[in-house]
Amino acid sequence: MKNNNQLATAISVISIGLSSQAWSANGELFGIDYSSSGFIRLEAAAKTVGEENPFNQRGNVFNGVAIDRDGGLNAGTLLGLNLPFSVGLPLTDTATRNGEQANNDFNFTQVRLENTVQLRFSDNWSATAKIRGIFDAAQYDEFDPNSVNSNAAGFLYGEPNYFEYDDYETGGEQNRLEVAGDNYMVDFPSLYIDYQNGPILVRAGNQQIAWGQALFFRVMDVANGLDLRRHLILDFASEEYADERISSPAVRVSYQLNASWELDMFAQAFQPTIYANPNTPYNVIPSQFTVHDRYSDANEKINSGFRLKGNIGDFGLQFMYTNRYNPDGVIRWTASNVNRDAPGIPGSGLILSQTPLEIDPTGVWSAEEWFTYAGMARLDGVEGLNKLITDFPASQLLLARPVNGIDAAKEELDLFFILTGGAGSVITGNGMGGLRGHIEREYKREDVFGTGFSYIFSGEPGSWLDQLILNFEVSFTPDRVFTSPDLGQDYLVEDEYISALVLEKYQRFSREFPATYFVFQWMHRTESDLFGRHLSGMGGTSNNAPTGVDGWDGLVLALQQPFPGLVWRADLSVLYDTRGGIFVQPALKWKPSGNWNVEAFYTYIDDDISSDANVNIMQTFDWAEEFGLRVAYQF
Amino acid sequence: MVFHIKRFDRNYARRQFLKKTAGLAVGGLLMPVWKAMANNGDFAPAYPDELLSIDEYTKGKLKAGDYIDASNVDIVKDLLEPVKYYQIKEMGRRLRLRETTRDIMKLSPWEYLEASFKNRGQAKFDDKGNVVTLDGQPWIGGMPFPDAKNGLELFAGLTMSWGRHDASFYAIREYDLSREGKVNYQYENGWAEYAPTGRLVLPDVYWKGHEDKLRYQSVFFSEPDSVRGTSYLNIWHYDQNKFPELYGYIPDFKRIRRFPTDQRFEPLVPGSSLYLSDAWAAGDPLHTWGNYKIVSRGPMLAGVSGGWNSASESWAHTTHGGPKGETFWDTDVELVPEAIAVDAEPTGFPRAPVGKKRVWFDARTQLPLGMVSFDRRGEIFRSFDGAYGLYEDGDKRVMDGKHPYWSWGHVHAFDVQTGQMTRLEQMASMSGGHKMMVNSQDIYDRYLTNGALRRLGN
Repeated sequence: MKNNNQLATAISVISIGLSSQAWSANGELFGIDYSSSGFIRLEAAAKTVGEENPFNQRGNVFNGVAIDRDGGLNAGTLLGLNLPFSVGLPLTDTATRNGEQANNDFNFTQVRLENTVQLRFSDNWSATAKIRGIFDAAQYDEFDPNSVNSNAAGFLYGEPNYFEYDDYETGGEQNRLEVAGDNYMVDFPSLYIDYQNGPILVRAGNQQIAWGQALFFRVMDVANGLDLRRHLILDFASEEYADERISSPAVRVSYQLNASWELDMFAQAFQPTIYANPNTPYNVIPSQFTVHDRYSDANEKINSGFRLKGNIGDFGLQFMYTNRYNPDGVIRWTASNVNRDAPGIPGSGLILSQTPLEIDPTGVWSAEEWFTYAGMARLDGVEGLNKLITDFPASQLLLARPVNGIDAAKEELDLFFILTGGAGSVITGNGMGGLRGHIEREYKREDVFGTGFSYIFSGEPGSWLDQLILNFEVSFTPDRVFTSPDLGQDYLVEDEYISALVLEKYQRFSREFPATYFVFQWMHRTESDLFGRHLSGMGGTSNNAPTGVDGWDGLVLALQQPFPGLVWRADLSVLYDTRGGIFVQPALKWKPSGNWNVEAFYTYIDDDISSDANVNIMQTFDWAEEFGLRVAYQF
Repeated sequence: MVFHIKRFDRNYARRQFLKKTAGLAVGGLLMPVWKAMANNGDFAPAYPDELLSIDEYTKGKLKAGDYIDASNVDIVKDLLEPVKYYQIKEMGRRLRLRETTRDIMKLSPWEYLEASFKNRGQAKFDDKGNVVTLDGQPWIGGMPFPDAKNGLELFAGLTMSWGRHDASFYAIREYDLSREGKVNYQYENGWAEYAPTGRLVLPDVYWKGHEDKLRYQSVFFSEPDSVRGTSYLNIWHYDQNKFPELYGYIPDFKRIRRFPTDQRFEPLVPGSSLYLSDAWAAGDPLHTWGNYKIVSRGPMLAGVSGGWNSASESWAHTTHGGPKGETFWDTDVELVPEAIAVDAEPTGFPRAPVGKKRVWFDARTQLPLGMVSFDRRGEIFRSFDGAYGLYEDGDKRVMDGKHPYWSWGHVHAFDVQTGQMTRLEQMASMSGGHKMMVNSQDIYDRYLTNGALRRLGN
C-alpha cells in the first residue's frame, strides 16, 4: 500500500463544500469568448472475487505451487532425429515459484480531474483545450522485485509503473501531449483549433476521430487506437471508449457536399494502442514477457483516410477508406541483449543475450507454466519454442533443438528451466527459475476499406418494428499482418473481413416510465478475435498446442432504462462470445443535483459457460469481476 | 359630458363564444377577425369593447399596472388556464397586467404577418394531409389558415413554423426546480431552427434541393460539464406523417450517430420537465397527433407582449414566487380578446404518458398562449406557458432586418403531479460566444449540419 496520504488529500479536495449551484466560468476577454468547465471524480473498483490477475507476478497461478520439472537430454532431439523411442538422460526436480500471491481488495483506485476550455475568436475560428489529470492511489498489493530477487531488465519490470510506457530503458510517454510518472498522468485529449466557413469545417490539432454506427464493435472506427492503461475496457460500459480512444495530432476536413452527403477526410500522426503496464491491475500481457516497443520506428508516420456518408431515399450509406498503421501492432521474439549467466554456467549469459531469453525469477519456471500461459496468451507453446531456437541460432549453442510435439517440447523446456535455475537442484530436488521472454512490438501499415448502410423501419405506432434502426457495416483489410502464435520472425499475413449488424430501438413499456433504449449487435471477424489476436492461436492448454478456430462472433445486448425525470438510469450491457464467454454489466447512474454525478456498476465475467475458456475472449479478464463506483463533482 | 355607450354586454360575448365553439367558425365575434385586420389593420372591430380592455372586462376592478395574485385572482379566474390559476392561488405566482396590444404587427414577426395577409386563402391539405398551395406546391410562408375553422388548421400553422422566422438561433438558459423551490439543475443550450420551405426573408421561397423538408432544428448543450457538447439534429420531413430524422453527437462516442425519434415524452436532460413533444406546444409532426378539436373560445390573459427584459444587458429575467422566490418568471400579461382552445390526442404514441393536450391559440395571430396536458386517467399532468414580445422598449431595441426582433422571452414548463418546474429564458448570448441570430443563412452552417454538430461537441 502506498500513497494513503495522497489519496486522503484527493478525497478531501472532492469533499470541499462545493454545493452551491452556479454557472461555470465564461465570458469575454480581449474580444475572445471563453468558457470553462470540468469535474473531479473519484473512481474505484472493488474486487468481488478472490482471483488475482494471472498475468501479473503476484497473480501468477503457479506462485507457491510445487511443479515437477521433467527435463532430459534427448538424443533424438539433439541429433534432430525423430526417433520412435526416447533415448536420453532424464533430469528432474521440483520447483516452486517464489512469487507472493496478492490479496487485493481493489482493482482500481484513481482520482480524475478534467477541465475543458473553449475559446471563440470569431464566427469562423474557435479552439478547444481539454486537460485530463489522473492520479492512481495504488491501493493494491504491489509487486516488489526485491521480494523475489528479481533484477529484470527494462524500465517497466521492477516496481509497478502505472502510466509511463514508452521506452524499454527509460520509460516516458509516446503521447506527444502527455506527462506521466509512476502513478500520475496529465494529458490533453483535445487541443485543437476549428475553422468553419459555410459547409467546410477544418479541425487541426490533437483530436480523436471516430466513425461508424456500431458501438464497442469497431468496424468503421479505425482511425484511433485505445489507451487501456486506466480501466482497460471495463469502465462504465455505456460510455463506450470515451476514456480509451487515443487522440493524436491531426488535420480533419469535413465538407457538407449537400443536404444529404458529407465528405470527411483526415491525416493524423500515428499513435498506437497503449496496454496496461506489467504488474498493474489490468495488465493483459503475461508479465514473464519483456516488451520492446518499436514505436520509435513509426512515430513519424501518418495515417489518413476519408469517409463519404449520406442518404439515398430511405437508405443511409457510408463508404470509408483508411490507410493506417494498425495501432494494435504485431509481436515476435527479439534478442534480449541481457548478459546474465545461468548459475554455474559461465558464459551462458553472452549466449542468452543473443536469444529472446533472460534469466530472472520473474520469468517462466516450468514447462507447465510455459504451456499454461501460452494458451492464455493465444500462443503456440511448441512452435514458439521452435521459433525461439530456429530464429535465434545462438540458442542452439545451449544445445536447444527444434522439437516435434508437446512432450518433447516440455522435456526440453524443463531441461532449460532446471539448468538456468541452477543444475544443483537435480540433486537437492528444489529447483529455481526462471526465464523471461523478450518480445518486440512492431507496427504495420494496412489499407482498410469499409462500407455500411442503414435503414429505419416503420410499423404500427408502438410496435417493435416502428422506428427500428438497422445498420450493417463491413470492412475489408487485404494482407493484414497478425502476430503469429509462434512469435516467429515471419508474421501471419491474411485478408480480413469484419462486419457488424446493429439494431437499435426505443420501446416504451409503460406510461409511467420513459422508453427503454435497446441495442443489439452482432460482430463477425474472419481472422482475429475482438482484441485482434489471430484465431489460429485459440485452444492451447497446458496439454496441447492451439487447435485454432474459424471465425469469431460476438453478440451485444445493451439497454438503458431511464426513470421518470432522468435523475436515475439503469443500464445493462451484455457481451457474449459465442464460444462460451459472457460479460454482463448492470449499472445505475444517478444525478442527484446539477453538480453531482454518481455511477455504480457491477461487472460479471464468465469464460467457460459452454466451452473451453481458451477459445473465447473472456478468459483474458475473467479474474476482473468487480463493483465499480464513480462519484463526480462538476464545476 | 361624454357618454360611453356599450354596444354589447358581457353576456353577449359569452353567448357568442359558446355558439361559435359548436360550429366551424372563424375568429372574431362581431366580424371575422382576419377580415377586420385585412380591412384596416385593426382587430378591434371584430370584438366588443369589454374584450379589448382588462379595465372594461373587470368593470374597473383591475387595470394595467396592477398585479394579479392570490388575493384577487378569482376576479379573472375565467381568463386563466387552470394551472396558471392554481399557481397564483396556491404557489405565490403573480402576473402584472398591461394594456392589450392593439397593433397587430407587434404580435408576431412583421414578415410573417405580412405573408399571412398576402397568402390568405391559398392553402389547402393534400391527399396526405400536408399543407400545400392551391396548385399543390409546398407552402409559401405565413399562416396557412388565418381564418382557421378547426383545430387541425390551427395546429397545422403552428407545427409548420415554430418561431415564425425563416431561421432562428436562441441562446437559452434552463432552470429545473424541485417542489421545494430549489434550483437543482441548470443547463445552458442553443436551439436552432431553419426553414427550407415557406421562406419569407432568406433567398427563395424554397431552398433548392430541400423542398421535401419542413425544418432543420438542433439543440446543443454547453453547460454543465456532464452534458457539454451533447447535440441533436432533427431533420423534419415536409410529410407530416413521418417522424423526423434524428442525429446525435454524444461526446463519449466522439461521433454522430443516428437515433430513433419516436420517443418524445422524456426530458432531454436529468431534472428537466420539458419534453421534445412540448416544443412550441406542437413539437411532433402534425399527423402523429389526431382528433384535433376546438373545445372552447373566450378571452384570456396571456403574455403576448413584454416578454423581453430590456433592463438586463444579457436579457436575463427576474423571478418570484414558490418557496424560495425562484419558481416563476416575472411576467406581464394582457387581455387577449379571443383564445381558441384546441384538444389533441397522441394517436401515434400509444404508450405516451399524455392522454390529451389542450392548447390555447390567440385567434388573431394563432400564437400558442398556453398548453395543459392530461395523463391517461384524464388528470391534469403538465402545463406550458410562455411570454412573447417585440424586442423593443423605448429607445432600446434588437433589430431583425428592418423591424424590431419579435420572439419568445421566457417559458414555464410545470409538472403538476410532481411540483417540478422548468424555467427557460432566451438570452442575448451563451457560453462559447453563441449569440442570438435571426434570419441568417449562417444558422444552417453553424448549427444544423454534421460538421456543425462536431464543432459544437468536444
